[in-house]
Amino acid sequence: MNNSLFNYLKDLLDSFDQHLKKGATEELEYELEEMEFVFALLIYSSFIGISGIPEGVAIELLPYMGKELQQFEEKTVNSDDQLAQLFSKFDFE
Amino acid sequence: MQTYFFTGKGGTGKTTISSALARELSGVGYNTLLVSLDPAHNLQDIFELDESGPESQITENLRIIEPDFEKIKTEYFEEKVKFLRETTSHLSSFNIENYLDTLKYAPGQEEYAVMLFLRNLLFQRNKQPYQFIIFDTPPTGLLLKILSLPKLSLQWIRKLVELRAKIVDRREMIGNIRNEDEKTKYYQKDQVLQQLRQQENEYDKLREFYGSANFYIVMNPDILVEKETYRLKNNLFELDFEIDGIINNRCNKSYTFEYLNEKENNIIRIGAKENNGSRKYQLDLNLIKKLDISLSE
Repeated sequence: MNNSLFNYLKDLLDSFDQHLKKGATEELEYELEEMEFVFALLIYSSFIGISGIPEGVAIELLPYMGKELQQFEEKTVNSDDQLAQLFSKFDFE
Repeated sequence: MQTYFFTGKGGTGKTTISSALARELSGVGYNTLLVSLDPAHNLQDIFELDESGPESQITENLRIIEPDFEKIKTEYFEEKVKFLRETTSHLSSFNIENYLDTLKYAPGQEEYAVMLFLRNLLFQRNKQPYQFIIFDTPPTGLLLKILSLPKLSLQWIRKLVELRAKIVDRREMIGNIRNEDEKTKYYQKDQVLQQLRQQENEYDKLREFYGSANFYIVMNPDILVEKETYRLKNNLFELDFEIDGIINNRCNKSYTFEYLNEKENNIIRIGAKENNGSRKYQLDLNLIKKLDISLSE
């Protein structure tokens, strides 16, 4: 009985801990996501008509940029709803 | 190993001079490689060879290479597309394969093909067996693009490394707060950062190689050619390349310079009689002495 109460309390505290940690990293994650997007934008700016980086550098990186390219796609899909995205980041109701 | 680049306006005699020097050096027993970086190369004609592929052994000590840049480009892109197909098949909506197909024809790929060739020649062959490598280069415009590529790429790569390092820092920070189970080695795991550092290393080596090479501009006694030579010299200087000398090919003694200073520019004259145009690679222009090449190695 005592053991299961202990486990229950432990799980409860763990979930609090997880929730607090998630809250603490949310903004960092948003910043990280934006930085990753800027990085991909710099490398593949020719996709959107701005030529800059030597093509060779971009091509060598291409096989390792899967995550960033997926973010590109998601940004494009959600591009008509930027304001809602921003509000959701700051927890506005 | 000593490296010589001969550059200048089209038709001034770069190929003749580089072939004659290669013949001289190999003739006195030095293992010599002569390379044409000009996509419209004609070393085969000068050495009176039939179409025999990109590499030919002329004598025991002399080898010539006329790279097929189209083939180098195609093979490179095919290799990248194959790798992409294996690693990022989930990204098919981007149509990346078609994008790469188009890139083959994009401007700026000529100098990249030359860079790929040099990277393979200089860094991937186990041991360089040559004591002299002589490059016959394409006319001014393309050469400047080839020589500026490492500097330009390095500027980009260093900025990208900075940004990527910040990204990896953030990932590490988030991972630490969340006490992620696995001991994640963020820096070692980030393949993009690794790839950028590898490219930085290769471009650095290429710059080092260019920096240790000797550059000569070949010109003719003509005011327009002299003006372009003067401009090329300044352009090369802006890219951190010092010219070792200017060869005034097919020159009459009466020619007076208007833009170039003879004393400052180490001008080497080759008379019209010496370079009579026939059997070009057999010409004896005494270039080892005229260019003051050290044979002590």
